[in-house]
Amino acid sequence: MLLNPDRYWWLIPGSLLAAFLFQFWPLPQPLRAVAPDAIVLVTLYWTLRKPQLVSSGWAFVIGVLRDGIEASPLGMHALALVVVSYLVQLFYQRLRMFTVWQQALAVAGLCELYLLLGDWVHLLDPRSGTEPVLFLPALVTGLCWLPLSLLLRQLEEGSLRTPVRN
Amino acid sequence: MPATLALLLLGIGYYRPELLAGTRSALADSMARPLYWLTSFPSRAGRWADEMFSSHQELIERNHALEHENLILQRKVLQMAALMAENARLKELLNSTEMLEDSALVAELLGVSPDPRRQEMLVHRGRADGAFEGQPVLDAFGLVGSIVELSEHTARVLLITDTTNAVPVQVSRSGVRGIAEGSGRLDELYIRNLVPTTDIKQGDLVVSSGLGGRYPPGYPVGEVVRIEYDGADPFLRVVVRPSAQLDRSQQLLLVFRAEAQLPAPAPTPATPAPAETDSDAAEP
Repeated sequence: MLLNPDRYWWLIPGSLLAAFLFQFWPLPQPLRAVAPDAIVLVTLYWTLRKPQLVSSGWAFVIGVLRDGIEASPLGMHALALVVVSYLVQLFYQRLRMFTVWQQALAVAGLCELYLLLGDWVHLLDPRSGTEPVLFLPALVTGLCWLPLSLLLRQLEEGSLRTPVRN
Repeated sequence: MPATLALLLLGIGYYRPELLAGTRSALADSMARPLYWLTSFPSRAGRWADEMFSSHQELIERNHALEHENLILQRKVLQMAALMAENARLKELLNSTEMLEDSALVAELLGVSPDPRRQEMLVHRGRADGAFEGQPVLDAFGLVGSIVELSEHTARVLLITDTTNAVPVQVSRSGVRGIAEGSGRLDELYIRNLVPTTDIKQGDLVVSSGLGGRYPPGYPVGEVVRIEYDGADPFLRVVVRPSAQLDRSQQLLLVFRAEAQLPAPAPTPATPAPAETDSDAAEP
């Protein structure tokens, strides 16, 4: 699978950086409430593609970074991301057999789990609000799986194919 | 293993938050600042383009407009000075206490919290600039919130509309006091627990009352837009629209409260405040 990893090594950090930028891009409030969770999406994609490379250790690091930037309780996103990426690692062979729609559904479910875990931890925060967790973002994240996985796959294969042609 | 680590972090953060304060502040400085700087690129580019491509003619026109506005504001300041002198004299007559003058520091907005449950902003001033936790924050139109978390160069501002925030307020027309609670939406605050006979009307200006000592008194908080009363409830629900432009302001003011002094001798009317930026003369 990893024919020539140094050809596309930049794709993983690059897409993660893009995800972080998207996540913290200033959006109007109504849009913000339905925006997909780009960080979860990209992390899950790479966990599914390269489970040996993007382990839950990396998920932990990504989550802590996100906690630091968002000023949420340190470990909140880390815990949720670790759990979700661990689930993907457990079932990655099965998930890969799915059609893209089934994968999208699975991703929506995982994202919902992520939000619920985050919300559960959020309740420990003394100054947490009381708004219920939103289901819409998980759904939107699932829908965004389709274009994102296609795009990243294309990029990956594009940068893989170049050395073959030469 | 990483999950245990995450749980451990959460546990430490919950029981001994001070142990993680350094890490959090370091993360905010090293990660959040550059990231928010990047995401604010479009607005900065817009401003840059605006500055670069506006013609000479436009600049002259804007300059004229600003000069006019300046004149008008100057007149208001003069009037203010006279009023303040009068106020001081009256307070002296009443043997009342201090005349306070707040100073302020301009802070650039860095970013807005992406979490829809939280109404927070990140601003580009931190401990190094003298900001402190609990410091009230204004924009040119009214009260914005207060600082809840600090790092060396950034500060997190909890907006008055956050569901966990509440501001002691007063209706400027009648003096009725209340507490304005955040609604979780940028355009609404609620004042609960006012009896139906309270003297409050649609269109009333609500200002901070200064009770509780967290927010300075007398700054506009919002305007009453709606009063809801369904008869079964013993209390009114007053809906207030914040006067601060919470979703538009790029520049915010961090307020330093003056120490309570002994009554000053009646100040000479035309002396401008020594502060770097006087909060009363803030530009819109």
